[in-house]
Amino acid sequence: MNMIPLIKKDFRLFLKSKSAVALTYLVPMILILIFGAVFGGFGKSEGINDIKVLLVDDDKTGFSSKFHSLLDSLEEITIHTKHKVNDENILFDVQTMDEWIQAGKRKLGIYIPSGFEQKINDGEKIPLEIHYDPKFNIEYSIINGVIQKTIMENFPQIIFGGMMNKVNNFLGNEKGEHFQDDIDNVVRRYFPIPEKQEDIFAPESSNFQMMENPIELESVQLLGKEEENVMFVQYVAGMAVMFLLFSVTYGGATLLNEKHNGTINRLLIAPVKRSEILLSKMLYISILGFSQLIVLFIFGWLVFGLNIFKDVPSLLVMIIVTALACSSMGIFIASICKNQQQVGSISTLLILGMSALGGSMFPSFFMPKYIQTIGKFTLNHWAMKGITDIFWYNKHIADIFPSVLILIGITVVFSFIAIRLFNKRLME
Amino acid sequence: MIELKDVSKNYGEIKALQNVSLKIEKGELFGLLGPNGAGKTTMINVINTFLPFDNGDVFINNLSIKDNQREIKQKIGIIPQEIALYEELSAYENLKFWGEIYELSGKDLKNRCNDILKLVGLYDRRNDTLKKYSGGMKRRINIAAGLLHNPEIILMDEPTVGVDPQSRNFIFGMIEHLNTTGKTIIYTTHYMEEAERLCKRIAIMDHGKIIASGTKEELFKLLEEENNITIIFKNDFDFENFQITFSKYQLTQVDDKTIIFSGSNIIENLSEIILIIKKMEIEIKEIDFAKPNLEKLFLKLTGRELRDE
Ligand SMILES: Nc1ncnc2c1ncn2[C@@H]1O[C@H](COP(=O)(O)OP(=O)(O)OP(=O)(O)O)[C@@H](O)[C@H]1O
Ligand SMILES: [Mg+2]
Repeated sequence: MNMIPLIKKDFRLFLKSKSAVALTYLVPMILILIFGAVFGGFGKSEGINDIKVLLVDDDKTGFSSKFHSLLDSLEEITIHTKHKVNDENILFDVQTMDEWIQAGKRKLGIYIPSGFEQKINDGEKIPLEIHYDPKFNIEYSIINGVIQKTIMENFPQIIFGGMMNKVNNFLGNEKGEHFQDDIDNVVRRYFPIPEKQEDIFAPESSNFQMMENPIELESVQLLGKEEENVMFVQYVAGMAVMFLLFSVTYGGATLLNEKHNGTINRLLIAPVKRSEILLSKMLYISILGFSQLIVLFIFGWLVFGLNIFKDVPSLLVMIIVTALACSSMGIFIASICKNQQQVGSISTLLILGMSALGGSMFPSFFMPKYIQTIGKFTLNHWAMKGITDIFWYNKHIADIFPSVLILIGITVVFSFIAIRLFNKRLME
Repeated sequence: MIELKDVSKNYGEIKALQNVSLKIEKGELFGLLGPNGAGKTTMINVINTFLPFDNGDVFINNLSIKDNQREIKQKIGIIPQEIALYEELSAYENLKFWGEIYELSGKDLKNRCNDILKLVGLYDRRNDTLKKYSGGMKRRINIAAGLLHNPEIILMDEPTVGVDPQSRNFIFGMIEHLNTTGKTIIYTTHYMEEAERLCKRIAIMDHGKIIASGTKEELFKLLEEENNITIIFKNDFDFENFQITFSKYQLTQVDDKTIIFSGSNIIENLSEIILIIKKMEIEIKEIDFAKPNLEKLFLKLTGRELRDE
């Protein structure tokens, strides 16, 4: 007998279970949308792990050096301003900084041009520039966030300036000025603001924009073309892998169901071998997982414009090995459980844990070092790494080979254990 | 056709089958009667090659099942004691699946499914999911799934558990029909009435052993001398008084108004018994001569009731 009827039957059962179909396709889509909407294409500025950043200060004013030392005090980033030439430490200039970034020695740099303090005092757009290699869009987002945070916390008056510009533009000059006077009075009444900074409230016209980024920074891309919604791959892949784990454990649990309702025994009495039952179940789960990843990536493409055609062979390879690894995990979880309820509780704990540690929920570079180390022991980490390598770092098949190999290793090991356990326990 | 030779099967300490030998001819409708835990299911699962056994051998058409599993599996249709189907699928989808498992396909498969659905009287409801079926209807599909591949041998493990009398009669009719088409059927049950009604030859099992087997007539012969008279009185009676008066009979008190007289040739003494009771001025409501049955045979052979209830 061949295994096609068994696989067909499993899909038929799957499609009849509305909750399973929803959990496989719909719920992750919704979560991807939510994550995408909440965080946008913008990295969170929390718990970043020591990004090395170059800094060139051409302003050389009290304000710019205060800004510099504030950035320096952040634990998320390390600022370098000097490099060695003939055993001598010399300050970077913009040109060298750009060369370093272009050569891949550093991912990004901050440039404080001269007139920095002056322009801020004049209420103009902050002339700060972030120079970066667009490959490192994520790091760029993080640094951008860190700078925003630093400025908002330490120089709130700058935000007022920027906001006033926008308000003014929105309300028209005259009304804007009234509004500004009112605010001015209110602020003065409650916050002791030094006289000298009075002029930061002076409106300056600029284009009205939504206020998602209160401070606009200049960004200078040094290489290549910007990948638009680069952060979305994190949500798409992260949720896809996490829900892949849910759907494969659901698939694995159907094996326990079949044990429970006696159909496994009936199959074994019919001319079906144990190995055929197990193998067909694994195939079913893998195909289900594969379809789920494909659907979610296409969803990412349709909704966020995720460029899934960037490197189709590599992406397909990653999807296949991820589906296989997750399937073996699903069968493994089912093989250590007695019934479906147990699968439910164990898998929820395991999957949420692995997903959090392995970077399915947030990119692992946002996490402390030791968590990152623990995360390396999760399937999610390697799946995410392979996929983000393709999307973020433009890597190709040869470069993602380690991730592929590890995922295949996971597949082999867990399948092997699961088959042994099932042979021993389930068929009794 | 089916022959068990000295088969034993242990589950750890439990001796589920103890040196069972049995021969069932082609075309027979054979009854396997025994209480819970007697070893009926174990025997069925040994015959269908599902359970490995410890000792002895089983032959089907003179082929040992140890060496010819796949061939033999195709010849056997199994109706498991527990309903083993996919509740979320429709009756038709279930049957189609089990047909495919037995390597049926295409038009052949479709026709078989429809024929069997008609046979079990559920053709009109073939597209309903089993969830919407009653217990008895599921039982019928459970039977149907074992018949799709037109097996020579059908092993039915208590196929009527939880079925109302009407459905039960329907199923009996089906089984008898199958038997007339030449199928060899083993039917297990703990209802002696079922075995009596359906089967010509019966084996009675207890504690993994066959304690008696033969045709109904042969089995009843074992009970021949033994007969009972059950008397129900209008009012309560004094059992101790009866024990003194009827000391030469074996008496059993069933309840305040019912007594059983037993012993050899008791029926011949019935008139004498009634006369004595009349003299005792106790009014009789009912007298019952129990016919010999397998229940009693079981009681005689094991000293226990076939069922606890
Ligand atoms: N998988 C098993 N593991 C251990 N013991 C078992 C197993 N299956 C059956 N037994 C034991 O073997 C004996 C025979 O069981 P079996 O199921 O054959 O009885 P049965 O005659 O079919 O009973 P019933 O009428 O309740 O179905 C019982 O004592 C039972 O407890
Ligand atoms: Mg049984």
